[in-house]
Amino acid sequence: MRKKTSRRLFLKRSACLGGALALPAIFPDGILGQNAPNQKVRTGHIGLGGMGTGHLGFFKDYASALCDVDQAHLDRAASRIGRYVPKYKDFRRLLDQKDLDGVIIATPDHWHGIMCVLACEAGKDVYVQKPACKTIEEGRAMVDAARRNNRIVQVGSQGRSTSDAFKASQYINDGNIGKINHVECWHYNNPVGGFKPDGEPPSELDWDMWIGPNRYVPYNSERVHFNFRWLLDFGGGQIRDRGAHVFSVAFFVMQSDFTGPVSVDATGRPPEKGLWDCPTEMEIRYEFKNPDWVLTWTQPGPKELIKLGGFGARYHGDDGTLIVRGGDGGTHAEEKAKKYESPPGGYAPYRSPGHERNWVDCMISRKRPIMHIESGVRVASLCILGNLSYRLGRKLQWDPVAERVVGDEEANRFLAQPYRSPWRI
Amino acid sequence: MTTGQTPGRRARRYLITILAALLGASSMDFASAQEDADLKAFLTRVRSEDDNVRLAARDEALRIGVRAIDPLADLMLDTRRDVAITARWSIEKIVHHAGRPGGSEERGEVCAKLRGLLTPEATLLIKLEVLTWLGYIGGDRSVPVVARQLSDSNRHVRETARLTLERIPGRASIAALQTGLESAEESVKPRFLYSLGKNGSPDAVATIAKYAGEKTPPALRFEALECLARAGALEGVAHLEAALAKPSGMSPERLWGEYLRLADLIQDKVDAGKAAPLYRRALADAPHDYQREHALHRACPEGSLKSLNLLVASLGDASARVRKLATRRLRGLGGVGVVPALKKAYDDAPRALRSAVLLAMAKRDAKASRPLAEEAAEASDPALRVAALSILGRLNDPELEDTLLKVAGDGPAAVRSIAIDGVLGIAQAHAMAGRSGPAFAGFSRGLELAAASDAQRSRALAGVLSSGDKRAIDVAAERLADPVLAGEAARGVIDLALKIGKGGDAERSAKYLQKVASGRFAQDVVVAAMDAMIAIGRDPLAPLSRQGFVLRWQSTSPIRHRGADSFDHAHVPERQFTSKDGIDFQDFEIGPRRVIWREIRQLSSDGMLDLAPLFRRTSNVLIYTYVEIETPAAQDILFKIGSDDGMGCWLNGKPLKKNYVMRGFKLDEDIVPARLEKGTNKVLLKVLQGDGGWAFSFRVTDRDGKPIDLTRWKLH
Repeated sequence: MRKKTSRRLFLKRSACLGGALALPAIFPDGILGQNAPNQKVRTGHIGLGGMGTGHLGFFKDYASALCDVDQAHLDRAASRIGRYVPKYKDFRRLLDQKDLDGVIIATPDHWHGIMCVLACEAGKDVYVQKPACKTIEEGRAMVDAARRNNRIVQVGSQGRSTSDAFKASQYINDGNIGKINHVECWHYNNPVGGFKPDGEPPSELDWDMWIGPNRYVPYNSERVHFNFRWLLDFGGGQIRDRGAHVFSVAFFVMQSDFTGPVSVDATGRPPEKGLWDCPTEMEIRYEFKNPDWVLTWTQPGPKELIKLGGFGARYHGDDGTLIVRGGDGGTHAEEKAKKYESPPGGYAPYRSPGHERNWVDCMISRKRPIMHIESGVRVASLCILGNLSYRLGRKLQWDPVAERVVGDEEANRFLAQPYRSPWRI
Repeated sequence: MTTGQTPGRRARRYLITILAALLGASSMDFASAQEDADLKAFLTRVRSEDDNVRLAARDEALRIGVRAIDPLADLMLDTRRDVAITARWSIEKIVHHAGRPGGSEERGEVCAKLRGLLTPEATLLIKLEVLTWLGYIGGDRSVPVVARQLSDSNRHVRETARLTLERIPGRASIAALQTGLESAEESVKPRFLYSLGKNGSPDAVATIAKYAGEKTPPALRFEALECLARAGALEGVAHLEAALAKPSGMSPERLWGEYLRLADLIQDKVDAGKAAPLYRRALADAPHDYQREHALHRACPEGSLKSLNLLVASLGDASARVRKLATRRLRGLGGVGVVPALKKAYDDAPRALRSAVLLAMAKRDAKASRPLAEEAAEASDPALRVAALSILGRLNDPELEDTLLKVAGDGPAAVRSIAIDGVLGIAQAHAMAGRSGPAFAGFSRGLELAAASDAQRSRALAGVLSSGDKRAIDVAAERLADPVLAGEAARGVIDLALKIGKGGDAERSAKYLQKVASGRFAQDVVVAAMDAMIAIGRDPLAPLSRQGFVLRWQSTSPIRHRGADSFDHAHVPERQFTSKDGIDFQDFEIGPRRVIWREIRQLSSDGMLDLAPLFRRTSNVLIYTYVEIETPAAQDILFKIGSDDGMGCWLNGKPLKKNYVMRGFKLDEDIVPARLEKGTNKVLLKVLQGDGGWAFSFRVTDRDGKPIDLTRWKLH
């Protein structure tokens, strides 16, 4: 006789199959897989250094192609995936792979713009690491490529996707500390490097491809991989590395994603020795209009803030202040904001389930991600203009609509960078 | 002529003038000597061994100004790198200062001085730097000197000169690039075309257009076509269409890419009407699905009824990607008149596309679509019939199974998902009636057909697993690499494999469990698979344990870390470990955050424990991990540790090694000699994480580096 199954039993069995296993949860608050996307996408990963390999944690099951100009990185990432995926040293071949829905770009900064644009033109959605772009021209091209090709482009300033950024935004926009007149961002210093002689690149590294569009410089281990960030021509220091996080949260809170400052004034102290040229100390003042507010970046920040954490922002309102430490994956608002419950009709910021997850969700829904490319470019513009003002040694008047420096031809020449052949944007 | 002065007065005046001239000359000499001394002192400071003196000298460069450029350029070649770099930055300061608004006179002087450095004998470094600086502030007068570098013997100099010309605005640089284009080697010409295209002036476009004809070699011709497209030049349309019309040695895919670029620029900046035929052509002929999708996206903006016919036509595109966009846009149509327009589109549409239009109409206005659905429910076209029945809510009839399977297999995209829902619904009915065979068959078929919907696939897999059919484990095992279903499949495999193992077939059970235990699944799934293997007598960690790896640890949850000082800070586990009492494994708090102890285990292929997927907080943190190793006798050994990023290691309460570093993972990177005592030896590790990847490995070898087989020792 056949045994009949009731509807209730059937549903219980099919929905709770895992429950029958009674699997122990290892880390209730940090278990893997909780952020794993539940929709199918196939991703290609370009740049497999620290950040790129970190992304494989989330995308491990989705990774369908890997690319790095360093064979050692490529092999290490492939071993982490633990299954066959095509490997490339030239990202253009990865973009030719037709079954990829999106690409994750985690290369040094000077590659972000070109790769993002070419990926959009190849019909791929893009998750590009912060800071989005190296020049203003690149940023415009990235926004344009995303728009023209109807692509979802998320910039990797993941602080916005944290619950504390959400809470901070609610707390401030519901008027708990009044109108904000000053966002005071702080960070610890850039490091001072040393010298190593220029030399031949290791055999596993394609140095010419690593330099890519930048002007030619000889191989030096002080330039390559993680160290790129301490060089103005390749990275641009903490203001780009971490500033892109802190500013991203600030723009999220201030609802300033589609605008920019009207003036930028930076000073700094260059490193006293070594190859790295990003200023060890730095002070920048950005002025915004309509509404009027000021954003400052101090490196190192005041002692009382540094003591709280290496970087973050203090929001000064007419009626009080709010400190948001960090700005990357570790974003921490003060308790008063964390505990705050917005009243009905209160401000409702964009809520993201997690930065990478948000991108995947948006790839499927075709909706705008939380750190969309326009915003990413506006945030990166702050970093670019801050470094430019420091480098030129003068205050810049900025037209945030035309995205040009007012009355300063030399500064405007820095807004675009001619690329070595065959690279273009 | 009289001046009204007496001769005496005139003589006095001459005398005064002469004296003044003498005094002036001597003060000029004095000033000049002073300036020389200043320059010398400045250069001495640039050459200083003292870092801070050199640093201050950079700021002084502005005071010295243009006179400092030549000697600084010499110092750029100094063998002491710090001096060379100080000199380079000092010149750059002078350059930027001269480039300031209102600094045109000084800019001229600085440019002249820089140009003087571009001699044939100049070193590569000087040439590259000077060209770059001229790119920042140079004008027309610098162009000829820069242009001369286009024929330098070094390719980096030639390339940098081109980039400099690209950066300098004005007709002189365009002319230089045009000359460079004409005289350049064939392989380099495209670069010049691109530089000209960046300029975008009518002069440049006219030059570029000359190279867009058939007689130009393909690589150069393509560059010209791309430049015309980038410039949004209308004349580019004819050139691109000519190139697309017949084989030209250029990649059609790339030509279509440029065709779309041009269409976009025409639509945005020239005349949207002129772009429309270009998009229509691309929709019909572009080879890549994403190119046709691009054309559709641009030609049919969201919510616009004007493009209805194009949307309907795109429902028949060969690519699901294009059809998907067309369906989405069709369903998103709004405004007055949309339903009549859809009705008309339905009447006019080819038979194969009607189902999609009907569904779009139902989404807009269910009531209006009902009469059409009633009529279509009797249609001979299965897809139209399924669409109509779904609108009418009559899809759960078991007799429809064959029709549904057919449409689910090869029906139009818009209806396929509805048909799959129907197939799964009928399978569910079989399951509830206890018909496990047909239920398994229905769910399996649904799983295969539901490629486009993860929710449907997940539902189908759950149905397969709960069907009770013995083939279910193989279906689930096939999904272990599935990006979406892997987790569900793994849990199902463990459950079913355990049953197989307990039923007596341990060999077959272990085969399935090993797949899960070695896969990249959630930690709870991996641990469950390993436990299941142990339950059937197969320890999956044994092979790596034989190579000396420790892959099972007690671990804290992540603790926030804020730089080197913070890494040195002894948190609770470290303090306890170095005290008499040892670690108590009680949860503890750091500020508002609770830190808990749990076991971590990973079946890795190379001995590396990948920590990043184990924790939610994976930046600027550290963890402590702990293991006890029981040895039969005291022994000198090596701990070989790899870590991404830094690490600390303690043995039996004493520190062995601390390495605060940000680095990628490398197996056995830190080798730490140690002595294990007879009995229990306690090991504590601290593993740092900055950002990105996070992992570590730990193994024990003898002093010669030969791995110790840890399966012979006890690990707790």
